Amino acid sequence: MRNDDVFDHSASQTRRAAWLLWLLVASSGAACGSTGEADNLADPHQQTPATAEAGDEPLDAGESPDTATEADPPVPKTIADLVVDTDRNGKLEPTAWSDQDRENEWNATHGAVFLANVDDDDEDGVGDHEDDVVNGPEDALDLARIRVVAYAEVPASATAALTIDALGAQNIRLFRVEGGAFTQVDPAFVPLVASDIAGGVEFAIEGRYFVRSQGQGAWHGYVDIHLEVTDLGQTLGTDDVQLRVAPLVFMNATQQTDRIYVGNFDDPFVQGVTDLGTATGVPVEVLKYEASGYQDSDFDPWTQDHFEMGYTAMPKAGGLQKMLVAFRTPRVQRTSADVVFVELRGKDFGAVHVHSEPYDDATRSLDSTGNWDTVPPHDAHGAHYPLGRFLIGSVPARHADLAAEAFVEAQEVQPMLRIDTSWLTVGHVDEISSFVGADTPRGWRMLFARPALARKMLQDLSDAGYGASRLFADKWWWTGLASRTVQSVLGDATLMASNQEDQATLDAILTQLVNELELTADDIRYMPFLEQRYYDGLSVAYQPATVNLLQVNGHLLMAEPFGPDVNGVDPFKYDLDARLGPLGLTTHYVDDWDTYHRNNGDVHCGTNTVRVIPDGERWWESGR
Amino acid sequence: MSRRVLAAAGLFLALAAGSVVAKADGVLFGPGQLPEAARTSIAARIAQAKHDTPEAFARIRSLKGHRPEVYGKTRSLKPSVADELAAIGPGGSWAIVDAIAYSPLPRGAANDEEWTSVQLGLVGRLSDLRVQEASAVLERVLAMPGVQDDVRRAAGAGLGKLGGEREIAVLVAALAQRDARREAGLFGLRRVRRPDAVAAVAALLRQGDTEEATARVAATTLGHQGSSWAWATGNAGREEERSEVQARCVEALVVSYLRYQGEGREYAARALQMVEQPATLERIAAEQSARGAKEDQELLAQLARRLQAAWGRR
Repeated sequence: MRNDDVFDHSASQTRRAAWLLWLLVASSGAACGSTGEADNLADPHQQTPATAEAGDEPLDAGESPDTATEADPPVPKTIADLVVDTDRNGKLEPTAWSDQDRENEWNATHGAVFLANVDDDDEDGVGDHEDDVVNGPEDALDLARIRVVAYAEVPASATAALTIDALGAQNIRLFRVEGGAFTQVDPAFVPLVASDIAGGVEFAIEGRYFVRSQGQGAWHGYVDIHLEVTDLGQTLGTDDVQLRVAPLVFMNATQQTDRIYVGNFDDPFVQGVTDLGTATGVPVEVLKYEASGYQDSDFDPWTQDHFEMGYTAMPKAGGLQKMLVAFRTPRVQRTSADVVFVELRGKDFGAVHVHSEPYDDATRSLDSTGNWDTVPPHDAHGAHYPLGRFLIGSVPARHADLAAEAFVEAQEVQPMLRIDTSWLTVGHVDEISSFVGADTPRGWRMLFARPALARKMLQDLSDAGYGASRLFADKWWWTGLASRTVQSVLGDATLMASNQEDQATLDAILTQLVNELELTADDIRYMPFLEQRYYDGLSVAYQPATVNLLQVNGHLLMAEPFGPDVNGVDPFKYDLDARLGPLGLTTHYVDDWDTYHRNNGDVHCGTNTVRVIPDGERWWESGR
Repeated sequence: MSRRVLAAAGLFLALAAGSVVAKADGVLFGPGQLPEAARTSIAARIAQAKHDTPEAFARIRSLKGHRPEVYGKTRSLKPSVADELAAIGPGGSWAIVDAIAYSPLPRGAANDEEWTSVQLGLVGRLSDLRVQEASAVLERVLAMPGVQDDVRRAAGAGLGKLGGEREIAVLVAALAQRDARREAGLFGLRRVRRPDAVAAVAALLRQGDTEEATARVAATTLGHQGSSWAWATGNAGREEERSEVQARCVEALVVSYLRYQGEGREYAARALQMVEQPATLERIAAEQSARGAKEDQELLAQLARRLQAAWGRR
């Protein structure tokens, strides 16, 4: 059978032409006798097809009959026909317009997805993206499918080729699926014979990695697949589809917590975290770093700085094919962070490590993932951020690893928000801000550091006659006794001036966040603690930084503030309880002084979490 | 013995003597770079301290905070010996001076960043200890070529903490330098809350060729000098000078806010926030009236709104 109108165009164009033809006929019918509204004329689901061919063609195996309704016009059969999950329902439906129409385009409403297969489903210690095989049935689920639709009438002498654009081909792995077996093929050029076309062929695709950059010349995550059927040097038909690799979506602290991690470095601290786990019913995993596979024994207790949790997902029938993904800190020489590869990576749990080459050690502190946070979902300035925004402390004068920043930006779905943390000796966003759930239209509030509030509280105590009460009772810095009276703190001109400068700096950052996020006064709660300066002129928390907290399903674990003893009450703790409790948040405290606070960090720094991947979250609907 | 042999022997002795001097240098410079009176007096104090507190000298020779296996466990991941030096206590001051300028410390495998952290720790701790007799050491660090900016700033801060007339004069003089000494001088003057010190910083901001980066540091210095929180301690300076200090800060900062456009403007606003004088709003209003350009007037209005918001925030 030969029809130039069909064979001289790609299958996508052919189907578009058929659709338009059908619309024309349907419109005529309506004009002749339909009583339907004019708006309905353009909606094929509201009209009866003008032709009676629907259902004449046999369904392909795996086809979902319920998607090819009587109201739909038939999808014309073409000799070159690729089908992918364009409509994102997890099924390949050759006879469904929703899969076949605009299959070579990608936007918020349609376009097929595949995963960067960075987990280790067979738990052999090798990422599934790092080998050339499909590692069992669990791994197979992580591969998206592409089908060459069967066309029985193909000439016996015909041949075909499936090709993928050069950049895309370098970044994916393609397998031919036959009888449950997966055979890797060269994605740049897959030769097919007539019997393949006649019977149909299924392929499975995995990403070798996530998109790393949106820069010029970089792979932007799209794969363009072209099928061409020829016979005797003449093209009989072509078809094109496009897929996009799913991004790494970072989780935010207001999401349900699935598990908590803490390093095994301080028994009372671990107990405090464990108690929180008990109170919330969330399991706590104590990382002991005892497994084999670490390069050396340079372990540190800053679990938050080792990795940032995220996930990736693609549609599957009835839901999402999901994979947790830990982004290891870019810092190369941080053996503890290898925990993501040595202990965490496994079935449906992936891990990645991205950094500049060579790695610039000057960026190392800002590359710790305590400097990575996610603002929960919000709208601002008319834009919708259903997955929130990525928050990082990074300015030109002191920035994080450029390759890692480019990686995050390349994911696109969580636009990056940079704030200035260059004035902090550690330089992490979690030293000054955190996000907690709220029963408000926004759904969350921002907690923000405020030395001015701490000073006022101390001043009020002094005015009330408690100037001789001591902060930090029985606590020691590395340099000596930390204990100090309220009056002594308030009388330290250098400490006060530096805190006032920090307050001015924080106000500037707050103004930026209020503007960028369109926050109202009620969206913000201030956290009182003073900062101090090091010789390098940079600041770090003087009082335990209670904003640096671990949030688990509405429960907050904060550093014991070790405020002054006022008739048996710590006014800083009392204030936090009064400040946060009415918001529906339950406060907990743990002594983190020796292991964390005096080493420039607090509770958040020493912990990490995996949040529950929301079932209803569809990253592709973000429009990015 | 020929003249040539004698000359060679003389050269050898000179070189040997030179190497002795070189070996005697501390981590930043040698005692020969100190004024003679200070050199002699400090040497005597060091000798006495070595006798009285030998353990302090031993501890300085065994610093560890600049080693990767130690600082790799801090959250900042920065080499620092500050805590170790502070733990030595006040008795360690002459041991620190000895390490800075009289006796070499083993550098070992320390890279430049790690070694700078040792220098910074020593100078920073000496600054904290406020040892008047060691003022010349800090003065030398502030002035010497080739020292890292952090270390030079720490020396400036130390001179400011000492706060004597000579130290203040050194810091003010540093403002005339068009290099890193100027910034170190500004850091030092943050703690000098006197009208003349404010005037010196204000003059720098008034200069037509002051760069934005310098203006940022200078504005912040004025913020510290006029800081309402610092003055509220009762330990910031002479109470009778407070009004004049703060008024001068406000005057210089309001003008700088318009004069500069980048960091200088932003940090002038932050510094005004620190000074926190209600009269600031009146001064801004007066400047608005005096300015013909609408752009200037709007900038000043923005500043007023910003300050009101910051001071009103609870």
